[in-house]
This record gives sequence, structure tokens and C-alpha cells, in this order.
Amino acid sequence: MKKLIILILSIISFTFAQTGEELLNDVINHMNPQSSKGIMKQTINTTSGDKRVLTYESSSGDKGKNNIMRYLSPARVRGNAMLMKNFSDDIWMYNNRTKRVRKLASHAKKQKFEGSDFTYEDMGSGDAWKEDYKSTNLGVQKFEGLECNILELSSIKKDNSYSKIVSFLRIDDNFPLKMEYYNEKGVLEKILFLRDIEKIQGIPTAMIMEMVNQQDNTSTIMEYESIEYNVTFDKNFFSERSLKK
Amino acid sequence: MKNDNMTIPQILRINKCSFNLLDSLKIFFSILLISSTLFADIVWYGYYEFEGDYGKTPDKGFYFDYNKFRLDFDTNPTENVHIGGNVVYKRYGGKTKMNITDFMDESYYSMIAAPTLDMFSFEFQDTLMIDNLYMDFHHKYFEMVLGRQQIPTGVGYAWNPTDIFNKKDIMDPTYDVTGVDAIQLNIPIASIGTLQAIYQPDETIDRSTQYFQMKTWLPFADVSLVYGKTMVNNFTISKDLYGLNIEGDILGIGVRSEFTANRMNYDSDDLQYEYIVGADYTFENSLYILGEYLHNDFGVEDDETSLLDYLVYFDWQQKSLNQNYLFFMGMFPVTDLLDATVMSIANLDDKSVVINPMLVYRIYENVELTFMGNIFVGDVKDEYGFQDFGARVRLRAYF
Repeated sequence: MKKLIILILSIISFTFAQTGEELLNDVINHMNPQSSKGIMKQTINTTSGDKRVLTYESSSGDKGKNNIMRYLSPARVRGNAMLMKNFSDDIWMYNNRTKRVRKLASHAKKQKFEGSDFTYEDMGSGDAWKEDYKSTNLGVQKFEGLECNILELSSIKKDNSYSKIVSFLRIDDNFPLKMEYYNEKGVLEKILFLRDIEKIQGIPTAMIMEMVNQQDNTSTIMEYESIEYNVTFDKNFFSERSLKK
Repeated sequence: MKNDNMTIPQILRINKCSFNLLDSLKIFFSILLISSTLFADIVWYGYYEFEGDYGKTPDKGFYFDYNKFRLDFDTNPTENVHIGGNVVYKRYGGKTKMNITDFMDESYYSMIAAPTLDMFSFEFQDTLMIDNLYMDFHHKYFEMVLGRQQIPTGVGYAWNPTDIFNKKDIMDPTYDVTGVDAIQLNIPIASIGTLQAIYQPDETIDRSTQYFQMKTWLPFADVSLVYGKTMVNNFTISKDLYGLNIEGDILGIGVRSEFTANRMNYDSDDLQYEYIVGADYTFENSLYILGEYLHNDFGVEDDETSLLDYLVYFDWQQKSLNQNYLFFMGMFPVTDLLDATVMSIANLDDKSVVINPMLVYRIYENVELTFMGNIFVGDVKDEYGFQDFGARVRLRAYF
């Protein structure tokens, strides 16, 4: 009888378990709200042990498809800005001192974002994961005492930066708590930790994100100093014109 | 006054735009007073810079330096209006008096009498100037910028054939350029592109510079068509420029090219061509490489290079001395705080080359220390062959 109950529960569990695609949709929805605007502080812990602190204003629209980031500090980069469109496929950089806008070629999106452990691609991949990776639900595991759904994304495109991304998703709403990025050789390269999750305007938000680079022994912490959702941007806000404002 | 950046022999390309010191002081402090009174929310920033340069030619050695202070301000009196500007103070030291002929082989000027050669001497003078001062008005349907402003045109890194406003130093292509007194209008055309019109007024409309650009974003590249009309050769010759800029991506490789066809009023039938073809790529290990080829019909053919050609070039009347050049740059972040760069410019006509290794070290987040060397390879009569070597140290602190 006991075996029968376990069998029935297993069948029910299997039948109602979310597919990888469903988990990925939840992750994308959490990570890319319709629109947002906030100020972020980025602390880079370098290999030399020094800390570099940068702050920037971030605006995001169309569910993360388009982003503008404008540096507020330090003085060296103040006013410089970056426009990322189509989930970081198109990137334009603006130099405030020379007022010049320069388009980056697509290979540049794999580069470090202002020397941090985040790449340009990490900052705005969003929906592109659906096309670039195959998603699989690997079941349930515990992370820091919490039950988590495990989502594995396996690369299906040759030029993807990561061969595999494994996400630990809080079981009640599939909000990601940890994401492991594996390089082309299948070696764990970076781990993203999402912490201090608060509901802002009803939207769960990781107020602190820490990317730990396992290969370089560096890390970067991004903290929201302020965040506002459901911001209405002008129709042409995400354009070169806004970069210069 | 000379141009902001001072690489030998580029220092010789004299920037003619200057302000009277006292007038500049009066204007700047008036702006300070008015700004402080009217707008509570002004952001001040800028940098202090020291630069020391040493150059060695076969029979002479030069050292000169400068201390530069740049103070910028930005304010938004209303949501749609932005006022910005900056003032620059430069104070020179070392050898401040030179002659253009110090930087070329004697065979170029041996037939010229000494009193005439004195006309080619110049002096670096301490400068206080308002480099930029502009109002930027944003409207739903257009953006207008009035005043002394930065007008960066073109997509090339080392050369910009479609640029008719700026004097860019090829030995230091990203250095600040002087502002341009102009009226700029940008009109977005739905989401397909932008129309840009720039008018740089002079004494008469005929002498004024006009520039129009229509830019659109195609899936593979940003493309713009350009028309410009300007006066060159000290306002004696009018020039019509028809240009095309392409900035895009082919198989992950960045492609940046500018093409221009120029019609001069002394030769209305024939077009003169000036163009660049360039590409860049970033490797997985963060090594960044960039190459650009320049062809310039305005440059002189190698075996015809004369003193006059040097004078025309040093006076910024053309973008290159000869006709064909290659620029290469490789940049690698050695550590989080140290970047190593090698730049090289090859004059393909006289077969001379200058190689500039450079190290940029961020001592602190806002303090950069740059070391640069210039290694010249070529015959003494060649553009990059006369000088033996050069060295530069630059310390810049942002605030």
C-alpha cells in the first residue's frame, strides 16, 4: 500500500512538474520586468585585492530587450553611457567628454562590463536564452536550506558564451537564487548569487547580486540603491538620442 | 595657441582658434556667477593633467611639458534644457619656441633664406579658454544644440574623412578636441533614422560651413549619408563633400568605413576621393585589435613632397601628408588596472612607420598614468623617418 502511494505521488509529481521551458519563462519574467529604472552600485573586487566602486543609472524597457546605463561615478567615467538593444545584440557606447557614440561589434558583448565579472551579454540577455539554450528541469535540490527547482540551460548555438547555465530557483515562485555559468569546456566559470530578495511594487527583486568568478578569483557585487518598476518611457527613449541626454 | 595634444611632429599642426585671456576670464566668471545664481543644481567635474614630452631628432633634443586644468559643468534648468560647458587652462614649460623646420630634413628648406624660415617659428602660449559652452534643447520632435560644442562626426578611429569640423591628432586619436561654434539640429524620423543639420556660421553665408547627415540603422550596420560644404585653404577654396559612413558587423568583426567624394570650386569637373576602410575585433582573452587604411587624394605623392606640403599639412588643411596610410592598434588589459597598447602608423607612400607602445596604469580609480614611446622607422626625408624617437608621460586626475 505504501509503495502504491509513493508511486501515485511520483506520477502526480511527474505529471505536474513544470517543464524546463516553463521554468525558464518564470526566470525570464522575474529577471526582466516590463520596465524599470534604478540606481545601482557596482563593487568590483579585483585580483589585486583592491575594490573599485562604480554607480550608474539603469533604465530597462520592453521586458529587458532594451537598456540604457549611464555612469554617475567615479569621475573618470561620469556621464559615459551605454545603449543595449535587442538583448545586447546591438551595443552603442557614449563618451561624455568627446560626445562620441561608437557602435560595438557583436564580438564585444562577451567582454567584461567596465572590468567587472559581468559581461555585456550577462547584463541583458533576457529573452534570447529561449533561442540560444535548451532548457531542462533537473528536479529538486536544496540550496541554503531552501527547496529549489533546478533548471539547466544547454547551449544549442555555436557562438554562445556559456556551454551550460544551471539555475537554482526558489520553489514557490521560481525566483533564481543562484546561477552557475559553465564555459565552453564545461568548466564552472562564474556563479551568480541573488540575495536580499524584496518585493518592490509587488515584484520580487534581488537587491544584491554577486557574480563570483571561479577562474580569476574575483567578484562583483551589484546593489540597487533605488529601483522603480512600470516606468513609462518615451517611444524613442532607447535610442542614440537618449544616450547624449 | 596649439592643439591640446602635443605629439611631435603633430604639435606643429597649429590650432588657430584662441581667446583673449582676460576676455575668457571675464566670460567664465560671468557664467559661474549666473549659473550659481540661477540654477541650484549644477554638477562640476573635470580633470587636472600633466604631460611631459621629449623628442629627439638627428641634431636636437626637445623637452616641453604642460599643466592643464579642465573644469566642466552641467545643469538642467528644466527637464528639456541642458546647459553644459568647460573651461581649459594650460600652462607650458620647457622648450616653448620651435620652428616647423626643426622637424624635417634640411633638404626641404635648404634653398630658403634664413629670414623667411623665421616665419615658420611658433610658440606655445599659456592659454585660458572656453572650450565648450552650449545649450541643448530637447523636444519630442527634435533636438537643438546652440553654442560652442563637440561635433564628433564620422565612424573611423584614426581618421574621419567625413569630418569637416575637427582637428584630430592621429598620434592620440581619442584626445579631447576643441569645441566648434555651431547650431546643430537633430530630427528623428520615426524609428527609421535621424536627420542632422549643422551650421557653423562665419562672416558670410558663403564662408559658413554646412553639414547634413541622414542616418539609418540597418540590420547589419548603421549607415549615414553626408553632404558638407565648407571653405578650405584660408577661405580661398570652397569644397563640397559627398560622403557615406558605415559602422557595422560582419561575422562578428566590426567594420567601420567612411567614403567621401570632394568637389573643389577650382576643379568642378573632377572629384577628389578620401576614404577609410577599417575593421576591429576583440578576442576571447580581451585582446582588442583595430586596423584602418586611409586613402587621401588631397595628399601629395611621395616623390613630390615639398616644404609647402608640410606647411599645408601642419596647418590642418588636409588630413594627411601623403596619400596612403595604414593604422594599427592592439590593446590588452594586462590587469584590472593596467592596459598595454601598441599603435602604429605606416605611411605606405614613403614607407616610413612610427610605432607607439603605451602603458596606461590606473593608480587610483580617478588617477591615470600613461607612458608612451614613439619609435620612428624610415629615411630622414620620410614623414616618420626624420625624428629618432619620442617619449611621453601623462598623469591625469579626474574629479
